[in-house]
Amino acid sequence: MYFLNRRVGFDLALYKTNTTNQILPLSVSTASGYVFKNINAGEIQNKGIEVILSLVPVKTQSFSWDINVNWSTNKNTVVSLYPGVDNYQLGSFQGGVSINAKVGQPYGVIEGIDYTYLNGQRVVNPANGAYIKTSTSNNVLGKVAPDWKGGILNSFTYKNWKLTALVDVSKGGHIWSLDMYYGLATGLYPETAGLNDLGNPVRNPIVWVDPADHSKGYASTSGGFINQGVNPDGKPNTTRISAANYGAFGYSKNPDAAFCYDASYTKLREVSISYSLPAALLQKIFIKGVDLSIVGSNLWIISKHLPYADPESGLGAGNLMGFSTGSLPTTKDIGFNVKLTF
Amino acid sequence: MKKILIILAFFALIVSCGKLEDLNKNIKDPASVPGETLFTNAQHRIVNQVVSTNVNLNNFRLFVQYWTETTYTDESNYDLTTRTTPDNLWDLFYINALKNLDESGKVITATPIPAGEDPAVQKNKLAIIEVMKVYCWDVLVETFGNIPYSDALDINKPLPKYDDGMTVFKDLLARLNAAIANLNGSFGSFGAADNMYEGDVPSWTKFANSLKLRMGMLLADVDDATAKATVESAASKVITSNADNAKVTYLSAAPNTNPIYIDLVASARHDFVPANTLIDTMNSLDDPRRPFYFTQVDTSTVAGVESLAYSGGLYGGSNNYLSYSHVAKLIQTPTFPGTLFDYAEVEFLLAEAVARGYAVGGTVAGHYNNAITASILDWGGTPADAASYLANPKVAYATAAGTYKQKIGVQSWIAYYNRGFEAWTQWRRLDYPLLEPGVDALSAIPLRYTYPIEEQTLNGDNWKAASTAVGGDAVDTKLFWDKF
Repeated sequence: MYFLNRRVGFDLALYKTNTTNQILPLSVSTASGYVFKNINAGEIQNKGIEVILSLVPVKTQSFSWDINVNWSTNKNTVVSLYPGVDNYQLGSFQGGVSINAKVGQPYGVIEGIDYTYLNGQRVVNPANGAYIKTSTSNNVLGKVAPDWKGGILNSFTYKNWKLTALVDVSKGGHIWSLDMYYGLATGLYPETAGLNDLGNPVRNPIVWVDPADHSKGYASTSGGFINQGVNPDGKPNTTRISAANYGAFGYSKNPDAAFCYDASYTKLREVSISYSLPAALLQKIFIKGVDLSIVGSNLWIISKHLPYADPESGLGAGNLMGFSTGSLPTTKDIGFNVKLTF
Repeated sequence: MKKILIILAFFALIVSCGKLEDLNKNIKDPASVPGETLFTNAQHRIVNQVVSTNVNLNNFRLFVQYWTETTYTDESNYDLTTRTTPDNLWDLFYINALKNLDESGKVITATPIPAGEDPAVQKNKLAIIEVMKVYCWDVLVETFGNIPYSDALDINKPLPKYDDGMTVFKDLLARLNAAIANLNGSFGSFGAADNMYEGDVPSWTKFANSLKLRMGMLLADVDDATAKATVESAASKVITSNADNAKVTYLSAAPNTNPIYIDLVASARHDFVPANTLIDTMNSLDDPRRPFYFTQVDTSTVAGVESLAYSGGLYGGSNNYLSYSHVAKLIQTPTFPGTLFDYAEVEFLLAEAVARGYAVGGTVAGHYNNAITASILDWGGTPADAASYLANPKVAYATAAGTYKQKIGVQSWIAYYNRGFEAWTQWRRLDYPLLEPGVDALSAIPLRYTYPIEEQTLNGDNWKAASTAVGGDAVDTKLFWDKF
């Protein structure tokens, strides 16, 4: 739909599709003697909204500014799988983390070991200063799919020049990072060094005023740090965790939930500048048009929450999103195009 | 005429091809295999699992403090989830071991007996498969407690229910008795397909009865009558010398080397050193097996002066690989055999049986001495070594410290070295030697494995029911046979 002399355009799509009787390699309990059962069943429902809005705020003889905004949200639900089976496991990983599609839940739920909570506060073991983890690994830590995605494309045209810039936004969803799980434990990342709250190197050993009587507290030279939370008795935690050996920041002393990150991002996806040779120049030769352009892709991640990795660089495309390991840096691509029209 | 000839030639070609669909057969990836091959594979996988020291597969040497880790001390401090160790053990026994054995039995049953072969051979094969199955189920019950059993190994039951551990265990004893009755020592069985006894049925009968002896003793604290009857009926038919030991040979070339060689040598990693707990005990007893268990290390603090000694890393702590004794070279060779059962273990069980008042013949001290002597000789010591060791008042049964549980517990712990799983069960049963958890322990020393994470996520309802039934899915939950 276009209004106001095609200065405002609007496109709305609503959809609902049910995919049924797919061939699925269903993970089964290995006590059956098998790992997968290929079934011809299941129903997965997708429903969502897609909106496209186009605006032309400025349009003169030689200059125009076009804005294209798109926004979409998709809700993916597992309706049914196989009689008696309510979980389609998409993948299971080190650390006891798994990505699942449970009946009645969105496709792609991250499960693993969580913190334990007391009155909404994380519980810390007063003996060693580490968080107390759940004994179970089937706690929901997050979901893979984003809440919504959007993009804004701005185009500026001035005579033969054209400049476009595309910004992509993805909001919501989670990603679990095996790199942080191990890297924070082994001291790879800068967060694991530096000074603690007492101004001492955090990796220094814990020093007591009186090693025989811990009630006198820590010496002012002590290393280690204090995990925020409460002890099982409800009092705020004051026990330091030692960071002298590996583990204090990473997998060994923290639950899987500590490495589950918000997968939202904002990216400058593409910028291009193009120039078309004036038609007057080409009148005497057989070429009808010459367009020259420079295109840059993935130039800038404007904001994200997953440290040291691109939240889009999961373990794989498709089903196994939501798990990040060994991510290579995303490449910035710059291309130069020459387009000849005959 | 020429055309006719061409047509005839064409048909001749088609006929000579035989069946055209033969071309579609994938001979490199066969859809059906002989039952004997499946048996060999299952046996290989089982022994590899039992022998392995890979942290993903087998941490029992750590639990009983034979070894400890150097840099990454997670497993020594009972972290079972990072490497999903329970999942790996579970998968190995259900898929690679039991499912293969199950198929092996089905294929052998369905295969016509070759002309000239006595039907007793096939019967022997099936009985040996049954013994190995009981062995596997027993490991699962001893590790987890309640397990999927009656619903297991059936793809039509993708989410099997769990059965009560004691019920399973009693059924296993009945199955083992039936299998023993079916073993006919006058006939052969698997031959070269059996890497443990080369198909020798009398040896399998001894192995099966030794397994029965051990399974019977498992119930001693909770069901004395069953334990007594089981042990007494097995005791006269068990392994009677080191020559009967259930050992699997490994080859010098990959992929059939000893898994310890893979983890300690081929991996070029230095993850393990022997633990102070074991070495200190053996030092205090002047144990003659130390050179076969460990290397010596220079403990001198004076430059230029060498002082070789056996010294173990602090259990559960960070240990510098070069500062401590290492695992003996012999154990690290690719052809070092893998042991499923040995004579020393049988004698320790018999010693305990006598101490509990079971009629198995002999005296406690006699069986105890036989056990220690068998262990020393099997590791490469001499009868003189054994005699002088047994003369040590701290070792001699009459003068060693504690109850029979402590005496047998400590000495069997030393003798079971390198056999982590058996040592772990023996320790859980006898509660000796006294072990302290690792210095950075996440829990008490595990008394069971937690159920696999995949069971939580995939088979949640049945997992919940089983967790409640065993008393909570935690490592410190005592299993049905572990009363004390």
